[in-house]
Amino acid sequence: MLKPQIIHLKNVIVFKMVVVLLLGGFFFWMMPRTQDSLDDSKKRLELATYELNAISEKVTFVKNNSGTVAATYGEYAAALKNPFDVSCLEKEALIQQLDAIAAQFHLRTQPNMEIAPIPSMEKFNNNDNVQVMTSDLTIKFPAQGFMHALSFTKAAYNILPTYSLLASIDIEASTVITPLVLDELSTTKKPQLIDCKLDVEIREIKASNS
Amino acid sequence: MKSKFSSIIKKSLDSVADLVFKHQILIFIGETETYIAAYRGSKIMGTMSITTSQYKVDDYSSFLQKYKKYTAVIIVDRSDIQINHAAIPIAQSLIPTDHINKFIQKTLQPTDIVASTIFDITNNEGSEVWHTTLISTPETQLLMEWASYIASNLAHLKGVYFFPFSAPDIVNGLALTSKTKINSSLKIFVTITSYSGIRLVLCHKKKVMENHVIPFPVNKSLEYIQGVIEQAVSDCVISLKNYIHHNQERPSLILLVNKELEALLKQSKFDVLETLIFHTKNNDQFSDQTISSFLNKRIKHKASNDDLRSFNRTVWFNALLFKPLWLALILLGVKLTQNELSVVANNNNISKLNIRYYSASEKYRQQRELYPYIDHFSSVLDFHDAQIALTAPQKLPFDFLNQFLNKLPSNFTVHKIHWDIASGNQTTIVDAKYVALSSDTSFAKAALYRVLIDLDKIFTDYSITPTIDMSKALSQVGRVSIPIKLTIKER
Repeated sequence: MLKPQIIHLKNVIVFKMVVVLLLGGFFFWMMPRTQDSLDDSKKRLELATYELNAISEKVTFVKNNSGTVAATYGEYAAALKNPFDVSCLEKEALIQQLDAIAAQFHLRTQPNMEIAPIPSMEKFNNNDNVQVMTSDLTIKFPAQGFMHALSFTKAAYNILPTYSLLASIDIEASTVITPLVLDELSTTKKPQLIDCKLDVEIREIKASNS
Repeated sequence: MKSKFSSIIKKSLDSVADLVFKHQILIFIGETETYIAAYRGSKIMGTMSITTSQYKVDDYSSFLQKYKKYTAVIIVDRSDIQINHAAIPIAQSLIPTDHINKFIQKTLQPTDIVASTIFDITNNEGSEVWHTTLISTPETQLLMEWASYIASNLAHLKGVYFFPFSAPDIVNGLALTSKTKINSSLKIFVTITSYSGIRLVLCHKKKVMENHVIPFPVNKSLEYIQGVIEQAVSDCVISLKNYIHHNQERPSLILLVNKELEALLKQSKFDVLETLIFHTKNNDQFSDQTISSFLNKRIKHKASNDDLRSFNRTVWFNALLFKPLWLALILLGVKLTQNELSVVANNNNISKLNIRYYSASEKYRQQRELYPYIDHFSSVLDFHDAQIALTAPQKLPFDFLNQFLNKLPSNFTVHKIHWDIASGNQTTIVDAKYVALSSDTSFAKAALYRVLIDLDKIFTDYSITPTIDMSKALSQVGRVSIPIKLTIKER
């Protein structure tokens, strides 16, 4: 008597299984497509928002700062005339200034400076004509103590170009006595047994007229 | 307004009750009638009964429509059920065998619906014997119609059961409810149901010995009914003579009747150890509700045959397999719909932003016309933006480090300071050594923690996290030096 019910139930199970497989297959096939489409729409939304903000900021800026536009144009025109070799000269001057400060602080040796330009330049606001060039400046110097090292670091930072960014400071007591330290040992002054390293990002805005 | 509010509350309470309580429909297939009682938890939701000879299962449809999500239990309470007692010798075997099922297959028809219980196990000189009660009924058309109807229309068929197996539990339940002690393990249970008439079940402990269904004398006086009961009990006691003599135990008589019949039965003289009379619910003439409420709480010894077993397996497979699959499909569907809706919403937002962009572009074009001498107007503005962005003030560490070094107690020796700024957050790491003028390491450690607490109080804008490795602490004559690393971050 229950056999027709059992057969019916088994048929229902097979039917459900087919529906589940078809629906599941369809959903799994659709899932990566809808996800791609969603990611794409998010990117387009971000771009549209960015572009709107950029142009709105420009409109607001020009509206509120009519005088500044002319001044900025002057600076932009000057930057256009500022070739890379002049920039190098500025760095040379910076090295000389640092040496002068080192003398003021009675450092045992001149600071060891290394400037390494980062080859790729970053476009600003996606504009090919305005790019930011970054160089890594590393300054190493000995000091009498932690406070002495900090004072020199502060003085050195103050003479760095306008857009410089202090990245890191490492001040460490020397663990080895070098011949230089031995030479320096004297009863009249403290030895400079502190090694200091300063990392700075020097950023410059480069303008072009292409 | 008030009635609307109360109906909302009632509906909410009903919904909560639906979630919390079990829902069960008990279908008593009796001698003369079929009685149905629907329960939500212990609350009876509805009852119905139809004379067995006149109905088809479909007659119940309108009543059962209200209880579609209920689990159904079929209880067979008819005179045509057969009670057999068997002593099944158990052969010890390494392979596990279902001895009772094997016995049933040998002795009964494969279509018979059978329930069994073991009431005693004896062990005589190493051979084990299971004393079993088997209750069976042929696969009647009515029973199968019900099973089929439940499978198609209700939530689930919990099983088919036989009333006599539940009689000992009902008797114990009645005694427990009224805090009465039954002094004999041999019990004669008598009650009157609308669907089967006068019911007499004789049991000894778990063993169901006899089951009698006596037609209810319709249109007869209570005294007549009293007489029928007296006669039935007397016949039962006579049939028990040998048993009583052998076990030296007289039976207890348990009656479940209404108050009117109780008054008469109290005057009756039965040849039993004791007579205990219990009342039906609401003083009903029949004990249908009382019995159904007991069986709603607990019912044991499910009966089965090959068809029912196969049917239950299929139902179980159907219920178990598809629920998680449907859930997974629903979740996938929701995720897909959510993605598609997000795409539509993003596209709408992009369209709105584009409209605003065109409007801003037009303003920008007008402003640009005010500066005809600037060729690269956009570049000039970007140049200005770059200047603003690069001149953003930087957080410098000089003041903090100066102050920190000044506030550090003299018994700290700093070895190394590292400062950096990553993602706009300043982090300073100080490697130092703390020297305490004590030879006790724990004292030195406590002193160090006090200094750290003081530093925390001074530099409230910073979180100072110490890392102390006490295994590297060095204890010399009267001095303990503890290496410490301080990680300082802006709050």
